[in-house]
Amino acid sequence: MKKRMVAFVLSAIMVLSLAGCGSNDNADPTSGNDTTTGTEGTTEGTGSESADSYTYNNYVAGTPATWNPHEWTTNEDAYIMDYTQMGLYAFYLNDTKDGYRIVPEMAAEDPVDVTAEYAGNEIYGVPADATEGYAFRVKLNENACWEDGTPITSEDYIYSMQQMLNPEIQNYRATSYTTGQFTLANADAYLHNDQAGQVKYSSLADAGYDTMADAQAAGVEQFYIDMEGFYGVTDEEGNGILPIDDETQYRDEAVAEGEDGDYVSPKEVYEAYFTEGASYESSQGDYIYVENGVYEETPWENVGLKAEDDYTLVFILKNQIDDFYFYYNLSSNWLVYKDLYESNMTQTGDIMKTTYATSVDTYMSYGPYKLTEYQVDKQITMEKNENWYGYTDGKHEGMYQTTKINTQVIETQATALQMFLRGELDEVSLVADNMDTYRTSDFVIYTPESYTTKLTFNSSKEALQRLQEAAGSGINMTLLAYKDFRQAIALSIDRTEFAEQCTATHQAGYGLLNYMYVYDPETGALYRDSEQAKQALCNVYEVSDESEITGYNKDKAAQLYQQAYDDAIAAGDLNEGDTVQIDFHMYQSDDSYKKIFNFIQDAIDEASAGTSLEGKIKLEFVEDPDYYNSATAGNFGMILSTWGGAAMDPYSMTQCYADPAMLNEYGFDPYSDLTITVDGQEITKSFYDWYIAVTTGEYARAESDIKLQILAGFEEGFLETYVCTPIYYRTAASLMSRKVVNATEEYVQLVGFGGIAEMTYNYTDAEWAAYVAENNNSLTY
Amino acid sequence: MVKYIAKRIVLMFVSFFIIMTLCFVLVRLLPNPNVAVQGGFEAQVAAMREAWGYDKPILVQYGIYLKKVFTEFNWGVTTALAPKYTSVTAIIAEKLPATLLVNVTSIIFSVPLGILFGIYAALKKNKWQDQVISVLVMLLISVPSYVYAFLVQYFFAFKLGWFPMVMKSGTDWLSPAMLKSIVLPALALAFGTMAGLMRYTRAELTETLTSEYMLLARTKGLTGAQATIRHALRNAMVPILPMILGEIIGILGGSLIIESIFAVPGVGKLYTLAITVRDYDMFLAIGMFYTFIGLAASILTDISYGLIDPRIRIGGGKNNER
Repeated sequence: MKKRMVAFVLSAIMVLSLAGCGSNDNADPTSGNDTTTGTEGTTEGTGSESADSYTYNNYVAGTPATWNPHEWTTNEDAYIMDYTQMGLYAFYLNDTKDGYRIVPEMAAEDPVDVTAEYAGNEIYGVPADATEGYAFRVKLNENACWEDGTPITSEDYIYSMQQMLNPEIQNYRATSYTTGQFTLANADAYLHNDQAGQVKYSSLADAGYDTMADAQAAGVEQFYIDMEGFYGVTDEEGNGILPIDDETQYRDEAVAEGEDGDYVSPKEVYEAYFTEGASYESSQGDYIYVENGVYEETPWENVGLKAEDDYTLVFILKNQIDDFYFYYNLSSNWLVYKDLYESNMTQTGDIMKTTYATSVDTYMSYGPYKLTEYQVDKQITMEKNENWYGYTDGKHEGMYQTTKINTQVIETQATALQMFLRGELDEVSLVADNMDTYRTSDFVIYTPESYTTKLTFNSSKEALQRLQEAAGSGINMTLLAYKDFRQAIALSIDRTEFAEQCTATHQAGYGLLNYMYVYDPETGALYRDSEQAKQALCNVYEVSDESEITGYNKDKAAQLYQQAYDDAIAAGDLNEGDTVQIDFHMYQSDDSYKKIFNFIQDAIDEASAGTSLEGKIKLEFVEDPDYYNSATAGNFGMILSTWGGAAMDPYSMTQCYADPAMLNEYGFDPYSDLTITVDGQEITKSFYDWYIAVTTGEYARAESDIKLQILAGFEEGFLETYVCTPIYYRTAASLMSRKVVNATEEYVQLVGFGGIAEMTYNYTDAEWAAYVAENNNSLTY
Repeated sequence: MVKYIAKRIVLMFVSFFIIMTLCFVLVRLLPNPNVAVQGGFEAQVAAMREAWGYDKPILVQYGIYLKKVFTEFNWGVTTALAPKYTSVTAIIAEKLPATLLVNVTSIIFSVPLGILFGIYAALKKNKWQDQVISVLVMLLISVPSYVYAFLVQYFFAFKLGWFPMVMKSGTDWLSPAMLKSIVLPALALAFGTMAGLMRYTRAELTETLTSEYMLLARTKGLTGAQATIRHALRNAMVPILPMILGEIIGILGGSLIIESIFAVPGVGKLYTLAITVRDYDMFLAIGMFYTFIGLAASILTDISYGLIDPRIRIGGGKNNER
């Protein structure tokens, strides 16, 4: 009896508990049970949608933290902006779908160059002889309005820019208008109005002096050193410009506490590097500073953005700009909705910050779609913005067929792939493990990215010495400071094999810039296809034809390993029994990173076999989520670093390799000389000066061919230092569902496959739900 | 008892303060307050660092922090996590319901089943039923929860379509659609807890079932069921109940992996994300939230011993030594 009782109780419990699992009422996706918010994939609005309902079901791995155009920082942040905002100009596919066309959107028409009207204007600093490229008049689209129907006028643009540059807010994106190519006149000064009345420090070069001696001759008595820029050290208040006679010992965070050099004074640095005969004496102009007056208050009226009437803006730029780049820079917008921007402003510390654009309630859309739902880490829904002018202006016929964008936040790719195969998502990214299954699918698309991943080396002997001392006896790290050794590592790696074994879809890469970069926007000509770019790589890899480039030469690598070894032994930098250790900092320690690590270790072992370094080169895996910061501080041997973006502006990419603020290649001196043949004439400048010259300086508006020569020369010069070596060009693979059709199968610069604007549908939502049900919620691709 | 509880509460706040101080100092010693995106926001980051007082001496920063926390209950704002510049307490409050819902459901699955299977195994000690349950327990304990998560998701959602692949969006926490969508994550979470309880219950009950007082109970004329329920089970529950209490307290914690696989917008990810992106205020707020929960749980657990078994008296005073 008791046995039967126990058995009965347990059976009852099991039945009850499994009953919850046994419900099959959702097996039919057309049942329409769960239409509340549509995150259950195929249950999305099925059966009850109108006949012309086209929902694009997408996913993202992370939630946007803000889509405030003044504050966004990541691609995730930009996600909502892409659909709910619109630039003054937009790029769409051309009629033949093989290129792009530029269309006025929030602008009513093309800009008019009005440089002549401002030539010689002292307030804006436009040169007197300027005839083009400095000032542009833009008529605004009078039909543009916010999602609530409120018209957007020039007042909105002015207010938004005032907030963008508001020194009390310190917006992340302010630099988009205060530095670089598209710099509004006096915008930087306006942004720094909080420093009004404070002493202004300028480098000797900016103050008009070549050397300290010149400045002394002119009566300058007090000099300062840029400790932050040169040495990465500041005082306790964060000031980086410090007097050269300051003997205070400041903490150098790049050196472990207790190690030699953990504290350093400006005086010591000055005397070690910038006095007569010291290694950086020639760089006094860049790192030695003088007082240069005081910051003055800059009124808004002096900033190069003016409203001439309700629907006319004038842009006055600090630097001359090409027409194309004017359009390009205005393809994103800075508009914010005043009431919401201000009502969500709060004091955080000593700074004002707004939570504008961090929820549905704090945001106002004005693009083709409006945000209707946002749940952190869960859901983003955007629906057709009926107040968007584009649906009625007759200029967007056949475009924006999508009526709703339903985006879920799904971190796990495996989950996303299963949802895709159940018809719940319309696109899914693929990873290496998926490629065997889907490589030949008709629905797979390959999206080239402008990013190049490279091995970046620490070439600073001092920094490496510091690491070596910390590593103990018998360990050598300074061999990496030898160019031959770095080149040997570069030549040890078979990039094609690397891309195949260690990545899903990436291609072997040899240059700093990949095949995405367009050097002439007018013709769409690709930099990598140009003769100059090909020749640059041929020179670097010492081959006569581009097709011969593999970046892999085991024999030459062995020769260079031996050479580096011999030189280091002769110089006393290496002992015969030493193990050469390279701290390889990696973002994570998961399998994919370990595979990369092992591949490179094996490649080095193989190439160094038979040399005096055989078996002596040891990569040390260092898991380091802050590896970029470690690189900046010189606390590394090698990292995988990636630069990309700005595919239409390859010239601006020189900044990544010449601006000390952005350099990962610790030890490389961007002020070292580089000779480039420009139009048949050999010209020598520092890497940094070439970057300035080709972006905002004397070559900024030069013919494309001239700029191309500079870019190719720069790339060749940089690669030949072997402070880094490219490994692969990034390409993303994804599957598109049968429901949607991209406008083109070939990737086009700037517009990709046409995007949501030109995406069309094979099925309405209702038809798709029925199709998925017919296939038992299991689709094959 | 009251004195003891009062003393424990005072000690709890002392511990809380010490942990908060340690967390604050250690987190501020990290090198970068606000991770700069590669691309040159250094000037902005530096300005914000200064504005938020990160360049002040740590003690000054801590003074400001304590003042805000204890006078305004202001634990700060997010500086990197979504939604940016929003009160961290508001974000925790917004995300807690999803975690609670999944974890409470998991306990509803796991506790009764764990105990009942444990009892059944103890009653069937060394018989085939016990062996089956023991193998099941070993499997459930030794396999990580994310494996179950992928398995239940694959079979019950992807293959059979009985449940949604991921948790439903929205805040209609108790709607049928929402409850249905959390069955799988709750189940995945439940397996480990269930196995632990099964094993523990079986072990405790097996021991009490062989005690002399059980023999006495049977000789007094109680039936096997009566003796088991009234004596053996009650004694076995003394160490088990605090374990259940710990599970219940743990429901506030969330699970990073389960939340990730089933797209649960809960607090599980917040803690790790906060430290990854150096969102100081979020890290401290959520860290102290868990600390408080943990300290409170330890007091509750101690008190619960006395409630379950009157023979246990808390406090260690002389009166208890009779």
